[in-house]
This record gives sequence, C-alpha cells and structure tokens, in this order.
Amino acid sequence: MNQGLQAPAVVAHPMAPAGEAREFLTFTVGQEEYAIDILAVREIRGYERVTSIAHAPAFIKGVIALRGASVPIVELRPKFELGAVRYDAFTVVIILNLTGRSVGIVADAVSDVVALTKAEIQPAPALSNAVSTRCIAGLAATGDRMLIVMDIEKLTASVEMALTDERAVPA
Amino acid sequence: MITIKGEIVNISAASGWAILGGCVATAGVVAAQSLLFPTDLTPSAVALAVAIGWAGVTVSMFRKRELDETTKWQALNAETDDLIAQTRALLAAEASEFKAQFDAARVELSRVQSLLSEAIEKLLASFRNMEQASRRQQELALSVVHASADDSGHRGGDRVSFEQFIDSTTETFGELVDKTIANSKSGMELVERMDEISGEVKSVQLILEEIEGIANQTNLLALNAAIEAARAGEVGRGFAVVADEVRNLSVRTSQFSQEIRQRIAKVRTSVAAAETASHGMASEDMTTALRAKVEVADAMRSVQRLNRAMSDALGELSKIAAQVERDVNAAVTSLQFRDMASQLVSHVTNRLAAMEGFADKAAEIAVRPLRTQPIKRKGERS
Repeated sequence: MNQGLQAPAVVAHPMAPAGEAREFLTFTVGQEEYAIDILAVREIRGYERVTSIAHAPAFIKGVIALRGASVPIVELRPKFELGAVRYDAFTVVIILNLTGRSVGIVADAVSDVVALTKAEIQPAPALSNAVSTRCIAGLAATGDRMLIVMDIEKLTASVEMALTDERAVPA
Repeated sequence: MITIKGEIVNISAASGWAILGGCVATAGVVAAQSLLFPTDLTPSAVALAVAIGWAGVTVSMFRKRELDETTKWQALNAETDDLIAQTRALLAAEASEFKAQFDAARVELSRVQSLLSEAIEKLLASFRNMEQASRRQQELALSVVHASADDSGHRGGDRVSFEQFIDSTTETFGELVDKTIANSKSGMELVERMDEISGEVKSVQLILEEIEGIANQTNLLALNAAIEAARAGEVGRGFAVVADEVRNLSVRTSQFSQEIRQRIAKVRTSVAAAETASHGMASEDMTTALRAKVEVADAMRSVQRLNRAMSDALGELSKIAAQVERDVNAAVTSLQFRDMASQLVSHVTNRLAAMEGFADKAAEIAVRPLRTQPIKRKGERS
C-alpha cells in the first residue's frame, strides 16, 4: 500500500527535470490501452442506457442527462474500426471536458491513472493520414505495456467536427 | 378160526337125529301098513324089512359121511399149516422191513430235526440282523426328520434346522432388500438435497455478480476521486493516494470474487456429478433389489416345499421301518415253533419206537415153535 502510495511520486520526481509530469487516465478499447490527459476528464461513469437521437450517425450513441445538462455520448469503437462492440459490466463512459462542452466517450474498461512526462511520450510513427492516427499524440511505454496517448485537441476537433457535421447534415 | 369141536358135536347130533328120524319113519311105515293091511301080516313084515333096510341105508350113509369129514379135516389141517407157514414167513419179512423202515425214519427224523434247528438258527440270526438294520434305519430317519423339523430342540440342540435356515435366510435377505430400498430412498433424498445445493450455489453466484458490480463501481468511484485529486493539483496529492488505495481494494475484491466464482464453478460441477451418480444409484438399486426380493422369495418357497416333502418322506420311512421291526419281531416269535416241532418229532420217534416194539413182537411170533400135531376131531384117535 505504501509502495502504491509512493508510486506516483517516484514516477513524477525523476521526470521533473525533463519536463513536468502529467497524469493520464488509461482505458482500453479492444485490445489496446489508451491514455488521455486526466485534466480533460470530467468524470467516469458506468455505462447506462442512453437516449437515442433520431437520425444520429452510428457513432453518436445518444445523450445522457448529467446534472441537469444533456451530454452526447460518442461511440469511438466503430470509429477505431476495432470489430464488434460489446457492452458489459466493465463498459464505461468517460465524460470529457472539451473546450467548454462535455462529451462522453464509450470505452471497454478504465484501468489506471499514470503519470507521464513529455519525454516518455514518443511520437507516433508516421504511417499515413489514416483516421486512426489523426487523434494520436504519441506512444508511451510504461513497464511491459504500450499506451497510446491521445491528442486532446485533435480529438476535440474530430469530435467537434463530427458533431457539427452531423448537426449540419440534417440542416 | 374153525371151531373143530363144535362141528364134531353137530355131526354126532345130526347122525342121532338121522337114526331117530329113521326109527320114526319106520314106525310110521309100520303103522300105515297095519292100517292098510290089518289082516295081513305080510305087509307088516315087508314094512319091517323096509324099515330095517332104511335104517341100514341111513347108517351106511352116516358112515360114509364120517369118512368124508375125516378127509376134510386132514385137508383143513394141511391148509392151516400151509397158511401158518406163509403167515410166519410174511411176518418175518415184514418185521425186517419194518425195522429197516423204522431205522430210516428215525435217521430222517433226526435229520429233519437238525435241518430245522439249523435253518431256524440261520433265520433267527438273519431276522435279528434285519431288525437291527431296520432299527438303525428308523433312528437315522428319525434323526433326519427331527433335524429338519422345527422342534430340533429336544434332539440335536446345537444343529440349526433347515426350516430355521430358510427362515433366517429369507429374513436376512428381506432386511437386505429393505435396507437397499431405504438406501435408494436416501439416494432420492440426496438427489433432492443436491438440487437444493445447486440452487444455493446459483444464488451464491448471483451474489458474487453483485459483489463484482460493487467492486466495479468502487473502482469507478476511486478513479473519479483520482481525477478530482488530479484536478486539485498538489493539494489533492494525498487524496489521490487514498483514491488509489480504494481502487486497489476494489481490484482485490474483484480478484477474490473471481476466485470464489471459480471455486463455486468447481463445486457446481462436483454437485452435478454427485447428483447424477446418486440418481442412477437410487433408480437402479430400487428395481434390482425389488426383482431380487421376488426371486429369492420364490426360491425360498420352493426350497421349503422340497424340505417339507423330504421331511414327509422321512417320516413315512420311519413308520415303515417301525413296521418292518414289528414284523421281524413277529417272525422271530413265530420261529419258536422249533421247540414244538422238536417235541412233535420226539413224539413221532417215540411212536416209531412203540411201533417197532409191535414189529418185534410180530417177529417173535414168526420164530416161535409151532405145535407138531395137526388138530384132531373130538374122540378121533391119533
């Protein structure tokens, strides 16, 4: 317990000279583990029934009511082209604060909170301008696992675009 | 026998009567002549002469008769002598024959007696043997009967009778079958209990799911706490640690829950196997035991019938043996005629001896000296 208690400090401290250590929330979608800046996360919720919206595209699951505000829920998994989508006890919704508005993304599971420095995050190999690489900030290796670090701004843009586009299309 | 004297008397009486008759006849003739010829003497003389003549004839006739008698006597004597000689010869022959026959009869009688006593001895011995054998047979039959009968108490006390054996076997088997049926029922109850256990295990699994849900939610809460802590920056560092601990707890809870789930799954498998096994046991045992019970009951009944038949036969045998013994005893009693036969044979011997005495006397008569003179008439000169 004490080791666990020391862990974030140990991780953060040596990295301090190379850059400020930031905390990331990691979650799994499919076989892969993703990391997202924890400051962008508003909260994590268990998956619950969403209210579907008529004529919404496939990756917009619907909306949920969150403390008086309705929050759209985006299903990233079809977008990532990661096969069949399943909903179970581990399925979670991560509510993100994206430049003033809340968007929920569906993940298979949340796993951890890790501290990463900028140095630890390697840039993603330039494969192509495929959709899957658009929102990726880089890759981080912690221990025996590889984390895909998401670029919040690009993700925001992507989500915003999707939302505005989809909003625009029916109009 | 010829009464020679009497004849002689008769003959003389006859000649006396003849003379008298002659005289009377003469007198008669004279009287008749005097009646016919009263004056003439001649006829009287003639008559007298006739009378004298008549008398002469009569005397000569008597004379002649006397001669005839003598010759007759002589012949008679000769005949008698001859007869006597023959009789004596016959008597002598008869006496010797009788003696021979008596001897033979005596020998044969003694042989008969010895044969009889020998045969009777043998008969007695064999009858005694027969009686012993019969008694032995009876004893054997009785012992078997008593051994197989219910009340073996007063004979072979330590021997278990066949009936008892059958009874105890039937009883034991009945108990066995009852036990088996009881076991089957217990097996059925076991199956029910197993079902109940399965239900309980299922509900435990549901509870486990609940626990896992709670652990999951705790995890989420901890993560949210961590997020809040991160947002609070340095101030929230301690809170982040607490949140981390809470998350660890939830993870451990999940791990335990998983472990319990695995164990419970194993328990369910085992219970299902036990249920199948006990169900099979319960159903199979029941039918087999019931069939076996019926079969054994049949078998025991037939064995009992056999035993009863055997017992009856032995009883009959015993009775027959007793009858044989009685008969043999009667036969032995009957064999006591030997004494009577022996007595009778001795009587016969005595009689034979008596008869032999008579024969001896006859033989004596045969050899006794005879008179030399022939039998004479009365007044006859020798």
